[in-house]
Amino acid sequence: MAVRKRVTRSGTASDIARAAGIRLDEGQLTLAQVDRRRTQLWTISLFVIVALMGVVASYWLAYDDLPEAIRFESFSSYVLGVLMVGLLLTFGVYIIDKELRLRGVASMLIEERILSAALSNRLSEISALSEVGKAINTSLDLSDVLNLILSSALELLGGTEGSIMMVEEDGKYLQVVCYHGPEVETVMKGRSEIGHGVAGTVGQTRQPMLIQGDRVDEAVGTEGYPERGISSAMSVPLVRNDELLGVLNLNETEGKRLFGEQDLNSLGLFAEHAAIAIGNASIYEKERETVARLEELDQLKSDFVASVSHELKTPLTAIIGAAKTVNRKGAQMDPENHARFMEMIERQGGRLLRLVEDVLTTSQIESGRPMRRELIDLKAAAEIVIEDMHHVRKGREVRLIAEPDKPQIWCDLTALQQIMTNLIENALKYSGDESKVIVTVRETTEAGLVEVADDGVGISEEGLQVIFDRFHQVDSSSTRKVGGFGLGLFIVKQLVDAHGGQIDVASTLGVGTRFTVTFPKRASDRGKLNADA
Amino acid sequence: MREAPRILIADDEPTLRSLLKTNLRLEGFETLTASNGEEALRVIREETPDVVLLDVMMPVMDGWQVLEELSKSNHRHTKVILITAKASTEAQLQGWELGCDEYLTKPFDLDDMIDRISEVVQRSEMEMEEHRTERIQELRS
Repeated sequence: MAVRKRVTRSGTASDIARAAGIRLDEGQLTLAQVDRRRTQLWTISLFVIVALMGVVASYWLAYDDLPEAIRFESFSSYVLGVLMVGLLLTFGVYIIDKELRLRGVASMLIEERILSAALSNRLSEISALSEVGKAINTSLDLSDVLNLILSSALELLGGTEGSIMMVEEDGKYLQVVCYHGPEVETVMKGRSEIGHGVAGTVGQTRQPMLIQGDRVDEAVGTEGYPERGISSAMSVPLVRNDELLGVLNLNETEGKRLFGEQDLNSLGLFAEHAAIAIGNASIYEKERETVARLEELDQLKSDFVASVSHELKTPLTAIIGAAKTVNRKGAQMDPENHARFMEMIERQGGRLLRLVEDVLTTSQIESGRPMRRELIDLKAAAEIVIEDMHHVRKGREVRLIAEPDKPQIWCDLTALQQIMTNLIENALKYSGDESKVIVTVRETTEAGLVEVADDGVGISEEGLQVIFDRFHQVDSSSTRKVGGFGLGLFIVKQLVDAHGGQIDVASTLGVGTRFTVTFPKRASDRGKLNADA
Repeated sequence: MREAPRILIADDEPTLRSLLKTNLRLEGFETLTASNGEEALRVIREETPDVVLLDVMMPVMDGWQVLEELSKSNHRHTKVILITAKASTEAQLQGWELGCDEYLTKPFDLDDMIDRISEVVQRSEMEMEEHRTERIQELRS
């Protein structure tokens, strides 16, 4: 850098040579030409000296035969002295000046050569960088891109280890997502806060940082560098469209290489390409994830449609069939059978209604129906729900326990009834005809609770992960025992969430399941409850 | 052939079983019932019904499995009418290829079902085979 500045200030060696009166055959001056000039200069000087000495010698030898007029005695010694000294001085100054200028030109030429060598090195580095830049932009796989960036940077600029850190979603931390070097275990997934440490500072200031030799200890955030044997390091920001994506770090731990300004410049240039490649790959990755999610949702929807059509068809078949039978063959049927068919129509109609309600509630929840809270007697509400479910229960007992006798809670009655209905219906569906379902309603100082327990088939570990998902049924095979849309628990969860409540499930396969819904009392609710009490 | 054809109703839905049973009895058929695939196979072995009305989605063993088991047993000539909510072409093809003799989708018309049962009962083994091949070709095109 410094050399280049001096050159631009004083022009090229050829300019200086021209100014010095050195004639050039071609535009370009070479060191050989300068050497030839110097040889010429000294040859002429030698010739002049020898010639002078010859003249003086022959003058001296032939002195006695010389005409009187040019003899030494006829000049005044003063004039002669001045003449001789003057001549010698002029000649001497001329020669020395020429020599100095030529030497200047020669050294300038040598500098220029060094510079041009450096420039061509840099050029090849830049072209290598741009080649790599193109290469890393050909892949859209993020992890491929990261690995390629790191291996290319290490290959081009040296260093014993390198890492790429990416900004985490919250924008506060950088995390190592790619590391090449000997300490994979300790470095990989390491994090550093933006604004702290070397990478953090580079991330915050978006300025590259060079750490070399003695500065390792002084530079910001290099704690631990000497311990890790880092003698020289570079960190550059990865910025795309003015957005910080991450930081690229190269370290030297074996003391073989000392990174310089020029390496930092090259790495900075490289980082620009790298950031574009990373940006493209991340966008692509995000798109791909979105597409996968949409596809999954699409699959869920079509499964749902299939499930809906199946679930609706069964009660419809029964209703149409029963009505038709009674209509056409009623006369042939005994009264008992007749009544059974009428009841069948009623029951299947109710089943159909519940299915349709489930779908409606789901869409209402999705469009965000507001909850209308009122003070509700949990026991009374549960009694009504259990009574209304006599068709589903088919005579099976659902035991109700209330603690204290009249537990109360502020919540939306319709939502509460739906929560209870769905939980109790599930408990009945997933347990044998002999088993008992126990509903417990409780009020504590903190919350109102509804517990539904059965001693049925239970839910597997995997099942527990997904029971609250929409359209989900733990067993969706064609040998499943229980029908339904897979909306029941999804609805329960959504309604409980809308109350700021919580739903917990404890289940053991073959032993039974217990769902616990907790409606928290808000400070204001407590006030109202206390006033009521 | 016995006077009244014996029909096995294999469906896990008690409502449908009772609906079909009543209707078939009123039409003069003799009926048997099963609530899952395994039970259906046992009844077929023990009672040799003339026609089986077979649901696909059933616990323990589904309708497809019953058809497969049946084709391997010496009851493979038992006539099977699939009654299912599965209406897709793939499901129908699967049914016919597994060797069903008629395919009804829910909700079905009771009169239509009784007509089909009568047809199936009267059809000979060869007519059955022809009918099946015809349906498979139709579904594939």
